[in-house]
Amino acid sequence: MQAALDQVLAQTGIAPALLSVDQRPAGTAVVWLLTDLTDPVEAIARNAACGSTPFVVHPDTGKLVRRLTVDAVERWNTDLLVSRMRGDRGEAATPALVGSIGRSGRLAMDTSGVPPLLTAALFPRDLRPVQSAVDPDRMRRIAWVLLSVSGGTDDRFHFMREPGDVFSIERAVAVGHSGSSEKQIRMKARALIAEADEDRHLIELLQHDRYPAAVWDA
Amino acid sequence: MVANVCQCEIQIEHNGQLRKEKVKTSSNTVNATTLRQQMLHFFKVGSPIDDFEVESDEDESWTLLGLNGDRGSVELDGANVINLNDYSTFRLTPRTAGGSPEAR
Repeated sequence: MQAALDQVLAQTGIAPALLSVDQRPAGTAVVWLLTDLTDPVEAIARNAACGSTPFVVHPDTGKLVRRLTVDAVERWNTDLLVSRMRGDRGEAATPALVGSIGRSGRLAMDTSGVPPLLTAALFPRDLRPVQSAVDPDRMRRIAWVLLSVSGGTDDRFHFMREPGDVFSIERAVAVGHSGSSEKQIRMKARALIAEADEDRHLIELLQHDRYPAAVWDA
Repeated sequence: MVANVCQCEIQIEHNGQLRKEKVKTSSNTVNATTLRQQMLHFFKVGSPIDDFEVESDEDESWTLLGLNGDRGSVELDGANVINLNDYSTFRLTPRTAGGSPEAR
């Protein structure tokens, strides 16, 4: 696996400092790429453009890394992989609200990049509290916790649609390169909404500062 | 940031309490269904909505009212276009078998 990745890197000229490769079932793999980023707020904001190679907190090292999920190892030498390693998402700077899915307005689909993304808003997109400012320390803790949650899952990540606005944080999941069935997308959408509700609960706990700061600043 | 297009107060009668919050909105107009869903999402009230099911009676279990001081309240359910500047407050009240709060 490592040798195959090294070969692809040699072919493409991309030389990211590789952290590790985790093999997963069904021919998939997760590649962790080291980054020099240390600010979780910047990381979660940059995820709006990183798309399918998002910044997350590595579940073992606790460092900010980029996670590349590879669906099929046999396609590793394709242009698609190269694009994803570079974090390209075409013209789209931010996952677009290509279309709202369902009736609640919480879900949206972004088909502008590869793979397409399903996104769920943690808070209502069009209603925000007038008093909505979050101080930088709390924002940092919130971003750090969410990126840690992202790092613990295979294909989900968080991004901030509007820089600095905690109420614009959304959760995203890739829905596959070659197309997913309607049933699969619905199942992912239901899970995504439930997870978004959990994220919102986490944020509200952190906003109310019920935990000592030292726990998060360690 | 959500553009501060309009500011208003949203309220919900829930478990015998009236919860309130001043909010800013990203547009001047909205339809009643969307506003109701956004308010329920904001207050985290109501059973989880299955996005893919057809609209059910359960979704209609809240009445959306527009309040504007001396002019009283107006039931907005079913409105295709609500101008948010026309009301200072929007309130969700549980719908009962007896009909709308106006009729009770």
